[in-house]
Amino acid sequence: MYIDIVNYTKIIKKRTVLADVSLNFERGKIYGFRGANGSGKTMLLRAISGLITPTFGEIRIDGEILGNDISFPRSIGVLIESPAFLASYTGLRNLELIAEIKGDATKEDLEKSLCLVGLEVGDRRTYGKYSLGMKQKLGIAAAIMEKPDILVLDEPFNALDEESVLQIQNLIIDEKERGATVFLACHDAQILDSIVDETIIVENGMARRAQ
Amino acid sequence: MKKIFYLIKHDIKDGARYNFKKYIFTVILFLVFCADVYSQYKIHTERCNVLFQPTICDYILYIFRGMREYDPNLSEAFNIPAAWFAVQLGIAYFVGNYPTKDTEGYGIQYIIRSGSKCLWVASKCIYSAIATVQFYLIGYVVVAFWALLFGRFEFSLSEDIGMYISNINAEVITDSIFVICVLVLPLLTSIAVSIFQTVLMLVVRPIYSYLAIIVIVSASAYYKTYFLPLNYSMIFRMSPIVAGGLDPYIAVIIDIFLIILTVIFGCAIIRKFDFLEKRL
Repeated sequence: MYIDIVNYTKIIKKRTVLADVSLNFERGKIYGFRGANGSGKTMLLRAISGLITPTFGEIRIDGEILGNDISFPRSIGVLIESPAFLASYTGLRNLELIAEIKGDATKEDLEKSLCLVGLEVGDRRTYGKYSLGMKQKLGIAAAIMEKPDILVLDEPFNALDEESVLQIQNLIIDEKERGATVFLACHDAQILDSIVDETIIVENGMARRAQ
Repeated sequence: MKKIFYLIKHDIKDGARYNFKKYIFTVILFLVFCADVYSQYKIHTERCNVLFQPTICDYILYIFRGMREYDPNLSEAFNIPAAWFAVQLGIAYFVGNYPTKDTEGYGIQYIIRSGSKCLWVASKCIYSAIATVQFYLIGYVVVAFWALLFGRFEFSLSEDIGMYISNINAEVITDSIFVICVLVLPLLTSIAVSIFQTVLMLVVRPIYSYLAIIVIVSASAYYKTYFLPLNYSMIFRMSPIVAGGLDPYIAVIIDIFLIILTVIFGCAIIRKFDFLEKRL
């Protein structure tokens, strides 16, 4: 297996937010996470991203233990929480600044990722003047621009119009075909079922595969 | 190496944006100090009917003089030196809670791409050191401008002014003593304390981190000991200035040791401690 979650438990302020989760995931598949608000979907995505550490249990990625052998997955793109960028820069400039750290993405990659989410490369508007939908799209562009092996998208369809939803759905399928493992949390069952290979049901911090 | 360079670049740019109002606060703070020194000089010059023109060093000496060792047996009230106290708390405010703010929103993109929590913590420590240097630079520039307008734009000490205002015998302050006790030690000590504040902030809430700094500052004023490092930022606690003072060279070594130890401790604790959990 590519990613193994083994008896993962997370307790925050005496509240169990993830309870003994054990799941495994393969490369090149889309995994959908479904559950009520506060069920633990986002927390599970945080765990996979390395943004929280377990109280018990572990996550192995290609045999490496997250938080022990590696702090974060070696190749990951993340959209968790509302996207946030520097308000005084354009979308492209924001991507350039973030991409500098790893240096994996070329300018063409950044421009392509903007096009893929439906944003104009030459748009001179700054992020502060973006609509909610455009902000969401830039968040998705930042997640995919480095062609990550793991793509974590938490409610990526929020604030998007119908046409954009279709565009992002196709983009996620393209990412899967490229070989990425996609983790997708979405409250809309119809959208989720139309693109995922497997659905994980999250309830009260516990997770199981849907039948 | 390349990653930490870009992380620091991000911290400096984003931190500067976040701290913008604090630059103004720092300018005002040092203007108040300068005005205070100047008003005292003015009273003295009028009383003695002499012409005193304070230099840049006179102002700096006054701000960082601190207080002599407090002796409770002498039944004197314990008065924290206002200028020194305000500088120490001003630095804590200036460094601020940017490191914890950067664990959400836009900062998440940087944390994940850093690939290493330790690298991320190291960049935050370097940011704290740079912010502290910025604070001092702003202060020195304000003092220099003030001296240009209301004194002498010179980098030397005036014996009379030193004795009257700071109660320090300027004769004993050689150039090397001035550099180490007045320029290097306050800055180095502030860097060590601000890095400690930053690492502590990742473990506990920022407010507790500030409170810890207030306790350290107050305790340092009350007790003269090597164990409370802010003693090293007070000129009045240094052996070349006062008998029985702390050795400035030992203080420099302790400061450097503290900085290294805090960064190592920060990296070690952050590997296991969930610093992102605090805001959940």
